[in-house]
Amino acid sequence: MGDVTCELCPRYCTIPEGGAGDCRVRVNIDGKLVATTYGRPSSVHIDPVEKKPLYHFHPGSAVFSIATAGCNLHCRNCQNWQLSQRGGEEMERIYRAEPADVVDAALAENCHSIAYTYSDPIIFYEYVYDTSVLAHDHGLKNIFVTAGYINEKPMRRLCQVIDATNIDLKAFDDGFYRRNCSGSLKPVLDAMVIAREEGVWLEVTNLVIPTLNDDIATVRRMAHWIRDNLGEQTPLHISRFTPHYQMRNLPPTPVESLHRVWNEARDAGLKYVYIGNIYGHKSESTYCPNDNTRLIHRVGFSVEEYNLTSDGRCPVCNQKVSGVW
Amino acid sequence: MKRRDIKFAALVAVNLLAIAGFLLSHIGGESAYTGWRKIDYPALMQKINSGDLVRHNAEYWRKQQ
Amino acid sequence: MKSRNRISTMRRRFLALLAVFSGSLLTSRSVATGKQRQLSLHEADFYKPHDLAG
Repeated sequence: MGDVTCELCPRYCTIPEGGAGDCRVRVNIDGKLVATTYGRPSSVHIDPVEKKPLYHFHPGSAVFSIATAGCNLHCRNCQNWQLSQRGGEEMERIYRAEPADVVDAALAENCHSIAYTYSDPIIFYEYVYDTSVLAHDHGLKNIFVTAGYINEKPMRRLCQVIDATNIDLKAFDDGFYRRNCSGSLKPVLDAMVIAREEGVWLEVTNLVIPTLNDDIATVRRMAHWIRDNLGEQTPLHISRFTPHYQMRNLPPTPVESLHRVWNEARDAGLKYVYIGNIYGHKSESTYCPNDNTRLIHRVGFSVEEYNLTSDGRCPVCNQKVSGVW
Repeated sequence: MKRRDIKFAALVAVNLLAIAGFLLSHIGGESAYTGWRKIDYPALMQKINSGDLVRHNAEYWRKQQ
Repeated sequence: MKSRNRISTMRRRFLALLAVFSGSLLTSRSVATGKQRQLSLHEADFYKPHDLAG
């Protein structure tokens, strides 16, 4: 009696009155499911789009980034756990920012897009959706940075209002998701395919954690799956793990491991493979897949040199480079 | 049994009872990562009443129908 | 003379104690009201460096 079931993500939490979903911010109050952090972000920053990371979506542009408390995954290595693993009632800093306020602020600060990021924006879905609609009305783009643990129907609906997404594929191993994230792999793969089908610009991130998901055979399967299901033009960001939260027992990923994963992904046929979290690495830059001309030179999150033509082609061989330029 | 042993046994028993009580009080209801969570409801309502949090309808799929 | 000194010492101690109490009361009040204060979006330092991923 009075229970409600949240159908937003694959957890399908059935929540009794006074309880919250697994994400902590979708709560059953008087028999109604409510989003408690709608219009109440706890983190608001302006970041370069490269930080999301998105390397093929308006490079060098500024992104108004917001997040509320809560998350529907519980990764042991979460870097943002102070935000994601808490409920709204546990937050000290909560801003009042209705969708119109966010859009106004993004415009006032000359941002190109609004990013829903840091925690998993799936859990403040309604806030994302309403803000995105308003952002489009004012000529802003929407970026959804997520782990992709969401059901098909809400994902398809959201794709109507977002322009780009970075989906964090934590490992190509269901056991990893169950052991380290309290989630599962299949819904994440489905979300990526949906984003591709719905025409949302998609980039994939894979954080390489020593001994947990750096097995080269698994990496190969992941790269082949991306190539076959999302396309060889899909940018893949191989990111370096650093110890955080409940996973401080492991060392940072050795650079050699990242190189092995990079090589494997390139051998599988992926055209744009990047190495992240290593400042100044050569593989932060974009190269022409045809003649290897350096098209976008990046150092950290900063674009130092931009050589693409206005329609996104290599200036030397005229090769088209996938992306939103 | 010496008086000292009885005291020690009583101490152990009290500890075991306390542990059992703690475990029993956590049976049922929320379990981590499998559905729903208990939250600090009074704190939540306080934040809602002060406007720091809200009660925004989250049943978007019903709104659609 | 001695008793006057003692009174003066007591007065000083009393005033010091009063100052400590007032200080702590003011601090706790300001913390309490600060926590209840509503934060508008523009009070966020958008450009403050942060270590959040994503």
